[in-house]
Amino acid sequence: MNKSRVFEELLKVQKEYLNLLKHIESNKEIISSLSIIDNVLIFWRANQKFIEYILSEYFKSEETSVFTAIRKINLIDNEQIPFLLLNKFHIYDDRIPTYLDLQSDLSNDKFSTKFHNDILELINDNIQILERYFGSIILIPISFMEKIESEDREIVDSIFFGLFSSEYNSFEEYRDDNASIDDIRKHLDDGVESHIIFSVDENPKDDFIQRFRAYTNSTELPLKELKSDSEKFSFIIMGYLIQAYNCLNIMLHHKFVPYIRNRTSLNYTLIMISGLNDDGRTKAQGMINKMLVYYLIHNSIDKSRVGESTEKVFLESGVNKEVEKTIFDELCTHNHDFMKIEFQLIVEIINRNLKRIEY
Amino acid sequence: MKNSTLSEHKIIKGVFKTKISELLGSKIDFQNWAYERMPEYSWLGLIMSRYGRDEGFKRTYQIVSELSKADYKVKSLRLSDFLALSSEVQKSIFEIISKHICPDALSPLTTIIDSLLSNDFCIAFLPGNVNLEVRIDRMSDLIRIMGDGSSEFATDIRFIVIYYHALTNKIKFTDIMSEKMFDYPNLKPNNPIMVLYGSMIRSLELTVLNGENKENSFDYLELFWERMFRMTNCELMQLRFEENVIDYSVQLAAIKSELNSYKIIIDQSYPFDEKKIVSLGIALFSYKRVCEIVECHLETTIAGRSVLRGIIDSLFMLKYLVLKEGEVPDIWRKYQLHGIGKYKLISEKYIEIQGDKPKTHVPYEYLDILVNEFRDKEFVDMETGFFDNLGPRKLAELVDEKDLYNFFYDYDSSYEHALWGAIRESSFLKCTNPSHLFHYVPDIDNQQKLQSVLPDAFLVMDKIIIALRSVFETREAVQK
Ligand SMILES: [Zn+2]
Repeated sequence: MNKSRVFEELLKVQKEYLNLLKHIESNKEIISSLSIIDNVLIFWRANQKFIEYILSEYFKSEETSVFTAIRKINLIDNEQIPFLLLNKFHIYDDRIPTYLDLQSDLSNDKFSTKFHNDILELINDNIQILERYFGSIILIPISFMEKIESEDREIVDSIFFGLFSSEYNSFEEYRDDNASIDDIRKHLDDGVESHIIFSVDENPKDDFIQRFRAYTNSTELPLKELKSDSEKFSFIIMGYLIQAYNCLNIMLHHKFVPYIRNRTSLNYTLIMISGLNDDGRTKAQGMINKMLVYYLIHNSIDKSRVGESTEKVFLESGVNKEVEKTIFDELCTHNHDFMKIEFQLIVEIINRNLKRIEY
Repeated sequence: MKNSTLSEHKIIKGVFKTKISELLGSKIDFQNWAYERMPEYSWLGLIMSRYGRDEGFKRTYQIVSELSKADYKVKSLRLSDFLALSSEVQKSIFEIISKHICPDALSPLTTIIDSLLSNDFCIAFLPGNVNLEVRIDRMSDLIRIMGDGSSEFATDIRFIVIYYHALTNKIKFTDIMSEKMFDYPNLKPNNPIMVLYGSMIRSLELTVLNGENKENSFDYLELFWERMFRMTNCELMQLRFEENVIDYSVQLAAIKSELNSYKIIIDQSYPFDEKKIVSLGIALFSYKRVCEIVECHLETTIAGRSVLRGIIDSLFMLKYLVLKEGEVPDIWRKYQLHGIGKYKLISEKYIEIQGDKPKTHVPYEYLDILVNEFRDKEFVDMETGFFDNLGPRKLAELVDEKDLYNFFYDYDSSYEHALWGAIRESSFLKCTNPSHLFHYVPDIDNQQKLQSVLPDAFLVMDKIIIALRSVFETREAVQK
């Protein structure tokens, strides 16, 4: 492959995308949400064959991180910096096309305004990433392209039903059996309750039902529109599971490392991973290790101190790569499966080595 | 359409060029219905395909007459002309259209006309339920039915185009025939007069076309075809030939056995007979090449064609040498000297190189040894041309193998010399997707196999054996 020529072509796509986003941004008053999603969708559809090639041939499997499993990136908090510091290639999962699934609710006025604003926010993030990190962070709607097909959906459903001690074969059965959150708690399989996280902000020490209420009361539409506890519960957990399934897909299909930054996403991705058979586990081992370490680094690194300028220094000097390698080498002396290493030890090793970056 | 015959070809600078290829000579060709006007009038096509002929005509009639009466002047029914107008006017045009059709009918076009191109179009025709694949499929179906400009479907649309020009007084009809033509939409498809009107409509539409300004077209057409190309898949057509099931091993063994008998005869009675040695050499060279085709499975490959051409060269040469012998008795020697002279040229050039010598597949030192086999090396001339200055065409004529030259050799030469015909045939596939404008697809995965050369290779080989037999024929009666 003529790598540099292919990359040039990829940059052309990025530039065209930036132009489209800027056009939308400057005409946001007149272009409907539907049109925006459609334009983005058509853009990616028209570039699909090339992007598929890029994903399978250009990016080197484990050397590629995908910033995913998030609603939006926190640019003010410099979240992109640890992402950029670690690993070699960086893909940012463009979420706009996935909003297509939500458009059926557009008849609701309140929802449609929020929807429009959400999309414009995503457009803005995309523009900023493209402008500030052009060529370093590549925007690709990777989870959209890995469309969850009906058979995938069945797998996710069965994982959801698997959380319960009773056997459910459909959501009707699940709903019939669980009128309230108390019922749900009663029917969850042994030990599952502690693995259910509703939000990043919740207090893990709080009671299960308390956490559930706190979350359902705090969140926006369309969750609030749902009537029963069982509907709300499955809506929240299925959302997380689908997201986690996407991460698993990215690992197994492309052999990329999902870059996960929050506890909830990691939690459900680990639930998914625990469902892998030995073969799948072996195949994904390298990615799982990196995913874990990146998650921990992301949450240990003092992003405010790794400012824009130091980031450039590190990228150019390659110091970050060195630090990354030391961390992995050291962890490997303990166990090749990082999930088997004492959590505290990993954090300690990471923190010790990170001191070299954070100054 | 009737296929053009060879006599209809105009000879331009020595190459055959059909009338059609003249027409399609350049991509942006405003005479080309499929490439240029179909995308422009695709909106009419979508309406006609959605509502069918009768209902479609009724609705487009209403739209077109309202458009013709509008204060703002809509100069044509071309989409690109609509899109060049101000947002206000566009809104009003799309409103008129939407009034007479279900907006979803034009939704497939939103895959091309996005809000960058015309937000007003999107507002008017983007469906509430965005199913992109369905829209792409409908667009590509339309291209399939509308692409043939002489089809009934396309003729209906061309009729609407001239009707609009008549309404806006861009064209005037004087003769009765033309006026009668306006009955066209009311004719039932199997009415014989349809054929006559059809061709009149098409030629009239071409006249209208000549007077049109197409400046808005370029960008729109580029976008249209780029989008359709990228959003649909290639439909590859590759030629499949019957697989060769004949087992040639018996024939090959027979040839080997015959060649071996000549080797024994030479050893026995003619160890220094140049004529016999050279002719056996030529035959053996060809035999080895046929073996290569069989053993390396080259029969359906490009290499197979080069090999066949080489075998034909051998036949021409062997027959020529036999023919010429009476006139030039030392022709066998001359032939060797000519060939060795070529090697000498190469090895001398190599010897002249100062410093590092190139490492290639050519064994230069060995070539020099071969040249030195001729005691009178200094007398070997360095050769550059054909033997006896005879090219293959002349040779074929002399040895009475003109057919072989015309029907095999010329074709195989295209392969040998990397001429485009051979490249097109062997290394590209044809895409039959009309949304892709029938482009060529590089055959990266090496799917296209060629017709087997083996039967022809054996045919030529047989001729070589016959020629060789004549060399070994003897008139001496063997006496007891
Ligand atoms: Zn094609």
